[in-house]
Amino acid sequence: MQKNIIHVMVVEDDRDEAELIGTLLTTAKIPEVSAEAFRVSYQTTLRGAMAEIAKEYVDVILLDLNLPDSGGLDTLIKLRGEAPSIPIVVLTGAYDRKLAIDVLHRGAQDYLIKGKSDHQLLLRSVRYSVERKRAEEELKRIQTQLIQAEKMKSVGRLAAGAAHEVKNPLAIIMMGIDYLTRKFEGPDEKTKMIMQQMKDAVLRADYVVKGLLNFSSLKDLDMKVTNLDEVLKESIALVRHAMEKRQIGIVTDFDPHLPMVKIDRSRIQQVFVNLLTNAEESMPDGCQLTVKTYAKKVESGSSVGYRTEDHFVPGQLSVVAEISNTGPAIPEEILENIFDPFFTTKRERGGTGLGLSVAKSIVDQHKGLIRIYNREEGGVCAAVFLQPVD
Amino acid sequence: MSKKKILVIDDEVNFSNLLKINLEDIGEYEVKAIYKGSEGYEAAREFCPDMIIIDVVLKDADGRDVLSLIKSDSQFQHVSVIILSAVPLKQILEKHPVLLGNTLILSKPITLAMLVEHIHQQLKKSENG
Repeated sequence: MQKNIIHVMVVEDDRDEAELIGTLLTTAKIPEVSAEAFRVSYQTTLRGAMAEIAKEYVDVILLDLNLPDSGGLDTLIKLRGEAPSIPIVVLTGAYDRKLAIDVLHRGAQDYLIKGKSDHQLLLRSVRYSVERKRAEEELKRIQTQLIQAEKMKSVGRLAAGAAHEVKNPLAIIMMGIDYLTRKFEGPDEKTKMIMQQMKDAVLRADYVVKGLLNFSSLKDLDMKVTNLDEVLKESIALVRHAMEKRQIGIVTDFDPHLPMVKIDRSRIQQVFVNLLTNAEESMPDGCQLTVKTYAKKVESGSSVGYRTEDHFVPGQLSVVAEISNTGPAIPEEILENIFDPFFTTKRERGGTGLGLSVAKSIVDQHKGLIRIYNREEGGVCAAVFLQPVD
Repeated sequence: MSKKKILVIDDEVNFSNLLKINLEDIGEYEVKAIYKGSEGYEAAREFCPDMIIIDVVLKDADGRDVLSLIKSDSQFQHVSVIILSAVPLKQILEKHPVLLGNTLILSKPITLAMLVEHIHQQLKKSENG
């Protein structure tokens, strides 16, 4: 039987008290918790507690409100601000009814009076806090998902309506331009140029509408078990011509034993083509692009895997496709906006700012993850993490 | 060579009219434009077109139903069709996959040059077939 180890961090400046709690927890022999074991770590200051949660995974915190570097409700507020997803049980010496209610309102899971908590009460409080917090987080996650799904639905309706209402007038303008172009045919270069610019403008508007439709029609995915390498090869074939024209070399490094993934092939291809095109456009002529696949366990402590929206937990296997270039780094101030709809750095070249936000939506729908970052050795890397087939 | 006849069915009146003018200016086509789906079949019988260009979203009818009705008449069974619509391709195919065959689906907006190219190919295909 697998043991679930619960990591309890005791934050208490009275060492005797802290040790007593630790002993109560680690020597627990109560039937209902026999499947679990506790690992206890100790901190005596708020600063120490914050440092520990920043680098280690903690399941539950037992917190004395009065510490050398912080006192009262403030201690709880500060710690919760730092780690809103870790359940906290407050310990204190004096019974104070108002404080008890305050700490619960401020998000503590429970309230224990020092010296009065026996074995069973302590264990139950710790265990229930963890469970209750898990349930809360799960509820929050489902709520967020529902809201997101509802949002996508309304964007979908909006986009479909807008598409029809915008594309028809665009079609009329286009036919009108074609008519006028014929009427003005002659030596006038300026008129010709203006007509062409108007045509380009219509096509650009159409392109934006198409992007919106794409963005919103993501709910019907056609999921099939697929070899990701194949999809990457097809995607590369689609952009190879553009790359060759600019003497950009493509190096591939595919893992021949890559686990299969369950994906909507054409959608994921759309993601790769988008990432490849971005990589190409941001590089000077003659640079190199590397496409690589591999399977990797998500590490704890890496930035991937702690937040619920990541869809991955530490230790879980992920199938990774990496597209990296040797081009210039993305400025830090832009990096956090690149997935926002309509954010673009190439508007004057016809960029709509929908490419990456569509890519992110597609990957999200696959319960995957997309990351774009500047590599330490130079260049930019775009990585897509997908779930392997069980 | 006699002019090819094209029947345009689209409730976007300005679009239909402009399309008629543009196509007729080329000199190879005779175009009739109507704006109601319900008049489609009647118009086809009167005009006897070589090709039908139709939008699927019409105020008074579903363009695909109009096409089915026209094509159920043996006279028009093999008539060339271009569906020209602002509705996404996938949505059009979902309901009436049977329509495909000598039907081409194009998306609005489209340049005249591109449309003429497709009209040309479709007509050639139906002559050969």
